[in-house]
Amino acid sequence: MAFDALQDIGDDALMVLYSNGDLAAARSLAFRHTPRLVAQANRLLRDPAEAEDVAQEAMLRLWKIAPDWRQGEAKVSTWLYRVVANLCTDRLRRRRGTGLDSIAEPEDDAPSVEAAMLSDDRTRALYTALDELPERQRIAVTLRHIDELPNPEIAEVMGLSVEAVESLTARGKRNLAAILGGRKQELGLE
Amino acid sequence: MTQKRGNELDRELDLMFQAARDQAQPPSDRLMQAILRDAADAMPARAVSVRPAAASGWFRGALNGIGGWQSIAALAVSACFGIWIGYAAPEAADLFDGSFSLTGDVLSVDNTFYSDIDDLLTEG
Repeated sequence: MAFDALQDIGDDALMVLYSNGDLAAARSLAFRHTPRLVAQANRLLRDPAEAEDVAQEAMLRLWKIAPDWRQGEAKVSTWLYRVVANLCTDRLRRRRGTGLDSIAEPEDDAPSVEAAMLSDDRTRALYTALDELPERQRIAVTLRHIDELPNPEIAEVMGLSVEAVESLTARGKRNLAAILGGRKQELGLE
Repeated sequence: MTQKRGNELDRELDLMFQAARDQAQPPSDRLMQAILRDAADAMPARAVSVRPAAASGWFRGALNGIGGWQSIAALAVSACFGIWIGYAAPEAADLFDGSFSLTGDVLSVDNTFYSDIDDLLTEG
């Protein structure tokens, strides 16, 4: 089936098509979900290469589960978010067990600092502040305010109640505001 | 005052979240090719049918209520066994009608034993 013809087909149907040997369906699923997975992983890991590895691993798990996928039970996007969140959490925990020297430096500084736009500074400051949050607050805030997922979907991704997610995001935002409070002028927020 | 401060805080954080959204990098071509290669490698060899979400309905509900397919199988085996008992080896009942005896010289059971007791019971 032509790739273009699959644009309007739902994820569940694409999973069935792929399971029956339609590679165009896999291509459609990959182009539909991979950009968000890479972005989600990069926000959590702050390492573009590692984020792509995580996205590839998550999609591989999707291909493997396709023959057993139950129609209408979970959304493919939610399932993938959950896999990425778990893979990133595992990697972040392993990182904490390694020395600081082995952690890649964040991509910034160097030649283009002067040309960096204000939004670059804001994003860097935000990520630095996010790194200071407890793990679950960071994931909840990232999914809610950057990936813009609704609370029920975040609850499903994180295996929590909606109320717990609301509490996590509220506390996360308060903590972010406290951390960023001292840098408002520098970031053009005053 | 507190409300105004809260709104200002939300606006500032929203600006930062927006900046983060705008900076998302698209996945590399290398990644997309690797993902599609994985998809080809992991493709199931056999065709699969649609798997609906957990089946529900009166029949499945009733079946689960009596213990599922295992209970149905056990019931069928019991029924067959009962039918077999009904048709096979009626001589086994001879044990209880007084006509059965074990090696004549040592021990014997016959109708006289039972009739004696009957006499005692009826004659008081």
